[in-house]
Parts: sequence; C-alpha cells; structure tokens
Amino acid sequence: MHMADALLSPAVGGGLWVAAALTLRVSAKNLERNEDSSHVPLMGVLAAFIFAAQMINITIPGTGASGHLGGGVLLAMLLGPHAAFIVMASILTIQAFFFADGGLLALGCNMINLGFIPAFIAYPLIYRRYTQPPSTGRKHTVITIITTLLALQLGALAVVIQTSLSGISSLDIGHFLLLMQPIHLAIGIGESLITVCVFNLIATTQRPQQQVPNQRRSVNKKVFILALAAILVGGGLSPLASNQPDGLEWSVDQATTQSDHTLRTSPQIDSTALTLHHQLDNAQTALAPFPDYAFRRTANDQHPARNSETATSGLIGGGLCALLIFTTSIFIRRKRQAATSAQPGN
Amino acid sequence: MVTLDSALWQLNQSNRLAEGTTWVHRLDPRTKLFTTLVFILFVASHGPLQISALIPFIVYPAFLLFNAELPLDYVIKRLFFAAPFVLFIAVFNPLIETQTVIIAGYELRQGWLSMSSILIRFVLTASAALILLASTGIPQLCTALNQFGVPQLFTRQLLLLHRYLLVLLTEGLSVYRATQLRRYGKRLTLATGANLLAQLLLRTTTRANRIHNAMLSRSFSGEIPTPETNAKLTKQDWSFIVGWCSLFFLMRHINLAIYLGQLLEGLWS
Amino acid sequence: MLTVDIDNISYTYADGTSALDAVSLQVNAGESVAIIGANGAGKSTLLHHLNGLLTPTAGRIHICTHPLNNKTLAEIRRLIGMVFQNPDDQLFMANAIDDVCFGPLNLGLTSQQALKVARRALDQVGVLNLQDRAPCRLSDGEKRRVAIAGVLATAPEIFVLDEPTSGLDPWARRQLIDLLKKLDHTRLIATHDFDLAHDLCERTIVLCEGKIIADGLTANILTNDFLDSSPAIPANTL
Repeated sequence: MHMADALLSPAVGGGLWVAAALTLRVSAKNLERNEDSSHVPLMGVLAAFIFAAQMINITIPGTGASGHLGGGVLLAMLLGPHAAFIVMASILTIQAFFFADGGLLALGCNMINLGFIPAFIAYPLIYRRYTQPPSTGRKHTVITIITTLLALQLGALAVVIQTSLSGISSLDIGHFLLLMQPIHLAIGIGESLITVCVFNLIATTQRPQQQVPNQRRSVNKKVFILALAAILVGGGLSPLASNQPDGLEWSVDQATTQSDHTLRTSPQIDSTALTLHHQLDNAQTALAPFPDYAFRRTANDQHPARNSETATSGLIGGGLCALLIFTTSIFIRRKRQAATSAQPGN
Repeated sequence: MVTLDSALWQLNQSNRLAEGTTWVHRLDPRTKLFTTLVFILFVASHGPLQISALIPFIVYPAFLLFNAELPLDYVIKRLFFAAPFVLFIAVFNPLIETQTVIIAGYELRQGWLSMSSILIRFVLTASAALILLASTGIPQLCTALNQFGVPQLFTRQLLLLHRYLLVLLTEGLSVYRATQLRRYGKRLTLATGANLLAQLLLRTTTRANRIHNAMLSRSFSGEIPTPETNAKLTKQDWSFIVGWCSLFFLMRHINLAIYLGQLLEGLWS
Repeated sequence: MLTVDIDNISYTYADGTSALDAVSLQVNAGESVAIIGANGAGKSTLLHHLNGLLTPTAGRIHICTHPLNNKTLAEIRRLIGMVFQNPDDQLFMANAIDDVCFGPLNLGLTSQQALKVARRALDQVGVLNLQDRAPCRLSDGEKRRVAIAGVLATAPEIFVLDEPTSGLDPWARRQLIDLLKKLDHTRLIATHDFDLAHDLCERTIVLCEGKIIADGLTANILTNDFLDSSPAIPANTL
C-alpha cells in the first residue's frame, strides 16, 4: 500500500526523501554507464506496462480474492535492480501527481518501500543469490515467491515504522503490525503467483537479466547503508525531539504558574520578555519540522474530560473560514464565467 | 482502486487541463512546484490534533483551482479514489484514543479530532498535488525537476512513461475487454490473467525495440538532448512564492480560525 | 549517382528461417521506388538493412557510395531518413517540436539551430500550429506528418517510408500523398497502397518470400494481368 502525506511528519518524510534521492542518483549514474542504449525506451514502456498491469485484477485460485501485479520484483528480474528502481520511482511519481496516490511528501517513502526494498533488498538477498540461469523450474518458482513475499512484508513493515514515527495516526506499532503484515502476506501470495506465471510465460521468448558483475554489488551495499542511515536519522530524530517540551517553554510555564505576583511587580520588562519568548516559541513551532506533541496519547488513557474552549472556538472559526473561502471562490468564478460568456466571440 | 478505463479518462482529462492558458498555467513551473512543496511541508508540520489551524490552508488549493479554471470534480473524484488507505488507517484513531475532550458542550473522544486532522491533511496535500499537475503538465514539471537537480535520466524516464502511458493503457484495456467478452461474467483467472499480462509484456518489449530502431535511425547515441530553456523567474513568480510562503508561515504561527471563532463569539455575547 | 546499391544480400533469422534471399537493388538519385509484397514477404526486413538496423548475413550494401559498416553507420543514418510504420514508435517525446528537434540535436546542431530547422520542417508538412501538442493528442494523420517532419529536419538524401498510409482515413491519406509528392528526395516506399504507388512511384519492385520477383515500371507491374499470374499473391485468396 502507498504511504500517504496525511499520515506523515515532515521529519520522517524528509528523511526518506533523502534516502530516495540518493538512490535515484546512484542508480542513474549506474545506468548512464550502460553502453547499450536500448534500455532507454525499454524502461519507459515497461513502466507504462506495469502501470497498466497494476490495474488488472486477477482472481487468485483458492482464495477467491483478487490480486494484481505490483511490479517491483518482476522489474528487478527483467532489468536488474538499478533500472527497476528508476522505473518504479517513475511510476510512483506519476501516480502521486495524477491520481493523488500517496502524495508528494510521501513519494520518498513510497520509492523506498515499493522500489528500493524489492530491487535492492529482496531481489539481491534472495533471488539473485539463489537462482542461476536458466530461470525456470520449481526451485526458481519457489525463490521468486519467497522474494516477492519478503519484499511485501518488508514494505509493509516500512509503512508501519514510518507511520508510527510520524505519530499522526494513533496506531501503535504492535497493533499496526498485526494489521498490516497478515494483509500483505495475503497480497503477497497473489502478487508472487502472478509474477511467477507471467515470468515463466515470457522466459522462453525473452532472455532475463544475466548475473550482475561484482562491482554493482558493492554499490548496492553502499546505497543500502546510506538509505538505512537516512531513514534512521530522520525517523530517530522525530520522537526524540517532540517528546520533551522545549526547555525554555517548560521553564516559562513553571515561572508563570509559580510566581504570578513576582511577574506583576515588574510588568513591563517581564511582559516584554514573555512576549518575545512567546514569539520565538511560536517561530520555532512554525519552523520546526516536528509535530507538536501537545497531548501525550496512550490507549486506554483515562483522564477526566478536558474542557477545551479553544477547541470550540477553533471549530466555529474553522467552519466559518472554510465557508468564507468557498463562497468567495464560487462567487468570483461565477462572476468570471458571466464576464467571459458576455463577451462576444468567446 | 482505479480501473483501466477510468484511469484513461482521468489521464486524458489531466493532460487536457494542463493545456490551459490561465496566468497560473503560465507561471514558471519551478514557482508552482516549490510553493506546493512548501505548502505540503507546512501542512504536515501541524500537530496530530490540530484541526482548526489547518482549515485556513484550504485557501491555497482553492485559489489555484479557481484561478487555473479547473473543475472542482477533477479534484473531488481523485480524492475519492485515493482516500481508502488513509481512511483505513485513520479510522483506528477514535478507537484507540479514548481520552475525551469537551467541545461546545459535547464530550468527544480525542481520536475523532486526530482522525479529522488526518482527513483534512489528506484533502489539503492531495488536492495541492493534483492542482499542481493540472496547472503545469508533466513536460514542464520535468523541466522544473531538472532545474532543481533531479537526474536527467529520471526526468527522461518520467517523460517516456507519460508519453506511452495512454498507449499502454489503451492496449491493456483492449486486451482486457477482449477477454471480458469471452468470459461471460466469470472472473479473470490466474491462467488467463497471467497470459494476458505476458502478451502485453511481450508486445511492450517488441514496441520498445521498434522505438529504439526509430531512435537509432535518427542518430540516437544514448542521450536524449532537449532544447535548452533559460527562462528566468519573473517578478510575478517571485511575488507568488514570497507571498504564499509568508502566508503559510503566518497561518502556521497564528490560528486564524480560532481568532475568527473568538471574534464571532465576542460579537454574539 | 547510385544512392542505394544493394548487392546480393541475404538475411537469415537466428532460428534459421530465411527472410531475404540474394536480393539486389540499385536506385539512382531522385528515383521513387515502390516496394510491394504480401505480409511477411520481407519488405520491412529489406528496409531495415538500409540504415544498418539489420546486418545482412551475406552480400554488401552501399549508400551514396559509402559501404555500410560499423564505421560508416553514423554517416549513413544521416543520409537515410526512415519513417516507420507506426508513428507511435517514432514520436516518443513530450511534444511535436521536441520530437522534431531530436534528430537535428543528435546531429550536432545547437538548440537555436535545431528549433529553427524543426519549425521549418513542421511548416513544410503543414502542422506548425501543432508544435506544442503532445503526440497522444494528435490524430493519426497528424502524427504521421510530424514523424515525416522529424525525418525531414535531418535533411536526408534518401527517404524511406514503411507503409505510410496504412490505417489512414481517405482524407488524411490524400493529404499525405500530396505532401510526399512535394518532396524531391530519392524515395523508397514499402506499401500495400497501390494507388499511392501509381501516384508517387514510377518504379515498382515486387517481393515474394524474400526474393525480388519483379522490378520495372509501376504502370507495367501494377496491372491485373501481372498480379493475377504472379506468385506474389498466395493461392486461394481471390
């Protein structure tokens, strides 16, 4: 499944973006060294093929459910990891722009989850390691299935980690994993069967990718480590930064609650300091890429209901805001349409 | 999930809308891309329980939508199709966050607030991306991406994918319909489906061969050169970027909705 | 000058089937030659040899007196302008003008020069107003004209067209034939369209199962008498 902007924090999204951008750079450099120029149109049309194939629902025997071709593993098998990553990345980009699938902030995550993981983790670790040409036979089928299953499981795990680190969904890791992994196992069975069948059908006519020379293997490792590092840094900073309230903020809060009368004695100076601090604080919140963990959330947290007056104002104001924006826009558009239709020769 | 024929229709619509000639369309693509990315970052930087602070942000996609003369259902339809995964995850929030909050006299689970926040974020970020595309188009976006440092190989891939997407979708639909007519309502089995995909794949690789031959015939040597564009950002571009980014900053800093609400409450009492 | 000199070439596929068998063909500058034959007779295979997309398993080819080999490939691809059967295979760029610029830019022209040449070519084929249009938004006839412009822009000596009117409606077809009439290059046109052959080509070659079985004036070859008795038409079809 695609990761969405709505569930992502800028830190996690940004970190994964760095990882994806790095991988794009490395893969692009790798492909540029390719002497045979036929990969240029091949990658383009294969991307379009996978795009179309993803929309064809196939019933999986035995389950009655329908699955579809994901493409990451098949692409790696046909083109090798670097080209496969570029192709998947391009598909995800078009999906984000044209179909709001995922989103622009989550694009980095999706490239890693659905591109990097199948091409640079599942494919080299399992498929390339345990198969040799000719790529046919029962062993090959089993290896392909395992590769696809692993790719999807890791991809689902990645989504869980990214969502949990972002903290916008309240699903905790445990429950989320319980939800995602079995679903993706089911999806994986379907996808792996389809991948195997399609590959077998074309293997007789199309020669699959030969063994990649060792030089590329070390590049894969580098990419892997870099990407992992970026993910960890982005993800790791996120909860760390937002758990503790800002030191200054905390002490100001302390000050205001404990010594109200002290503050009142020298109102001018202190109020200026407070205002300045508030401004800085607000600026930091605005600039800080980490979400504001104002309320600590845990399941079954039983506190007395808090009366949120600002929330009420917010609701009223928010509704009014939205209404204002829409009515103004519609009014302007009607006016403009009337103007253009009134003009002759339009 | 989007089906082949609806994807075709949507693709055609997006391409057609991108050919528009409004001032928004004529803005430099770098301007729109940058501002939209900043917008998304600001939206995503809100706390998980912030709702009212997010609502004023609608002004950006709404402004672009109406100024680029894009139909509202262009966005709504696609949001509808893309919503399932987000909804699926968001729906757990009210189940897990049972701590309650009182709003306007009603006691609500906090989870409903965070769920609403997620949904609003979704609408904001997704519509911004969609509107960016419909007011710019993929070729221009790729130029902007190149200028921002994205490898040429990748933007070239994007352009090729975009170019052949309609062709492949049409072919895919054609083959799919052909099997549909002989299935008499039965579902697409693994055997038939795999054969269908394999055929399409083989056709795709032979097509790639033909395209390559056509490229070679025009002296292709591996690099696809494109005419250079040296367009500089205009005053309009800069004022667009600075104006909107300042507004986003302001809206992130001050909750306009709350002020408005308090103002209203003040007037009421 | 002999622009195309094909000397006894043969071509066999990897699985052993013969596609071309001892084919010889000489074409002078300015000539227009139609190549006709049943599907699978070897027309496209023959054309693909002209610019080195395929290498003959026997025989030699000279284009404008240059022998066709790896060293001369670049020069020969500049001399031969090939328009493929399916314009979707040829128009791969995001819009018409970028696609027409592809050839000139590859040949070393600067951006400015390439744009100028491209616009001129598009104008020559009558679709300059479509220069910013995406290929998927062009009609079949328009696509073919842009494809021809793309080849025109490379200023070839010899124009090679593979079934240029297939799939076109009568009006687009007529427009295309009129356009091709205006070009004064040496022309080799593989076609099923006998009327096009009559209109454009004074000479016709008939291919059958990889062999040239007739080579003469179009007026003499494209007659009922000749074609009825010719093995080019498989039995049981009429």
